[in-house]
Amino acid sequence: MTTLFECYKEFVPDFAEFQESLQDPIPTHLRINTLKANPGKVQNRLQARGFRLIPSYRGDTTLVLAPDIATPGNLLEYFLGYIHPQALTSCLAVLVLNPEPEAYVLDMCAAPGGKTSHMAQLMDNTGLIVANELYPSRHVAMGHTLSRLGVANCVITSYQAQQFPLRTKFDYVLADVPCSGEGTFRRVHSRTEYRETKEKALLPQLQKKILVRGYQALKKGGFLVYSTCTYNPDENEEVVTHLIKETNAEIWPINLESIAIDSGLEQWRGRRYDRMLKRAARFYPHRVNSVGFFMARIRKPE
Amino acid sequence: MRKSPHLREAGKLKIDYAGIKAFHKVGKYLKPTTRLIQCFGEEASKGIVELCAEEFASLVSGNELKKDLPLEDGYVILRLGQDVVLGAGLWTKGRLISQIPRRELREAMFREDLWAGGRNGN
Repeated sequence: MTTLFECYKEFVPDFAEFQESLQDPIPTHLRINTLKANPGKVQNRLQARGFRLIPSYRGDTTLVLAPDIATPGNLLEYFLGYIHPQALTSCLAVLVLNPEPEAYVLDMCAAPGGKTSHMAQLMDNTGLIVANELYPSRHVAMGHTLSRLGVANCVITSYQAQQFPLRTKFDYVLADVPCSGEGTFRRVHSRTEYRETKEKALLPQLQKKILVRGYQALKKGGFLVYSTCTYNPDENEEVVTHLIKETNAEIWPINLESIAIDSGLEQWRGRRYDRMLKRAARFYPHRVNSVGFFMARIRKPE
Repeated sequence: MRKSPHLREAGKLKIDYAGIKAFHKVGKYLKPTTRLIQCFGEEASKGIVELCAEEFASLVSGNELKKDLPLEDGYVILRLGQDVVLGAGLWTKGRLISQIPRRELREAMFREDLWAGGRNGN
C-alpha cells in the first residue's frame, strides 16, 4: 500500500501512527446546540436509547463523540436542532476565536454554517454575525442549517471573501478558508487514493488575499482565527507569514486544555516562516481523533 | 436582532438573508414556519396539541387525525409528549393535519421505542 502524504513525513509526529489513523473513518462527533436544548437532557435522551456519548473536550458538555450513531441526520434530535454533527477540530476553531455575546462578527467563508451556528451559540444569539458565502447555491443549505439550529443573530452576504467591503469593521473575524482538504481524507476503502488537483497550487494565493482582507476588516484589539483542514504548510504557515510581513499582525498562543496540539512549523522545504508561527496549532488525526486541522489566532494591536 | 447596535453597521453591506423566516403566505393566510414554532413554541400557552409517538408517526406519514379538541380552526402547535415542540399543524373541522415538511423527516425519528427517554422525562 502506498504511503499517504509522504512529503509531510519530516514534520508529522509518529508518522507510522498517522498513516494507521488514516485507515479509519472519521468518527461521528456531535455538538449539542444550547440555543435549543439543555446538554444534560439531550445526553440523557440519547443515552437512554443506548447511544454512547464520550465527552471530547474537558469542561465543555456540548461536545461529544458518538461512535454508535452512524447517521445523526436520522435522529429526531437532529430535526429539532438539538444536535449538529461537526468535527471536533472544527468546533475548536470557534472556541479559539471565542466571540463574546453582543459582539460583531464576520465569518468570511461561512457555508455550510456549522462554525457560524457554533459562534451564535457562544454568543447566545446576541450581537450580530455576518455570514459571508460567495456562492448563492450554498445559501440554501446554509440557511437551512442556521434556521434548524435556531440562529437568529445572523445575516448572509455573498461577497468574494478577498474583496469583502471595508465600510464596516468587526470585533472578531473567522477566516476558515477554502483549502485542499487533506485533513478530511481517510482511506475507507483499499482502493481509495488521495488525488491532488491542479487547483491546489492556486489556493495559497487566494488564501493570502482572504486573510489579508479579513485582517483589514478587523477592529484594533480584535481577534481573527485563520483555519484550514489541510496539512500543507504552503496553505498554512506560508499564508500566515505573508500576513505578518504585510501588516502588524500578532500571533497569540492557543490554549486548549486536554487537546493534543502540535506547534506551527518554523520551516519546510527550505522556506522559513515567521517565528511567531510556533504559536499556531496543528491537529493530527492520530492525536485528536478528528479531522486534520491548522489554526492561527491573530490579533490586531491597538 | 432589531435591538442589535451592529445593525446600522451591517446596513452598509448588501444583505441577502437575515434571521429566521417566521411566516409563509399561504393564500390569504400567514402560516408560521416549523423553525419559528420550534424556537418559540414552548412559550405558548394555548393552541397546543399534545401527541403520542404513534399519532406523530401517523400525521407525518400524511394521515389526518380526528380528535375532539376545544380549539378554533387555524394553525396549532404540535408537541410530542409534554416537552418536545415539533412544528405547526392545521386544525380544521375536527381534523388535524401536519404542516411539518415531510422531506425533513425520517421514519426512524418517530418510532415509539426511540422516544422512551423523551416520554418519561428526565
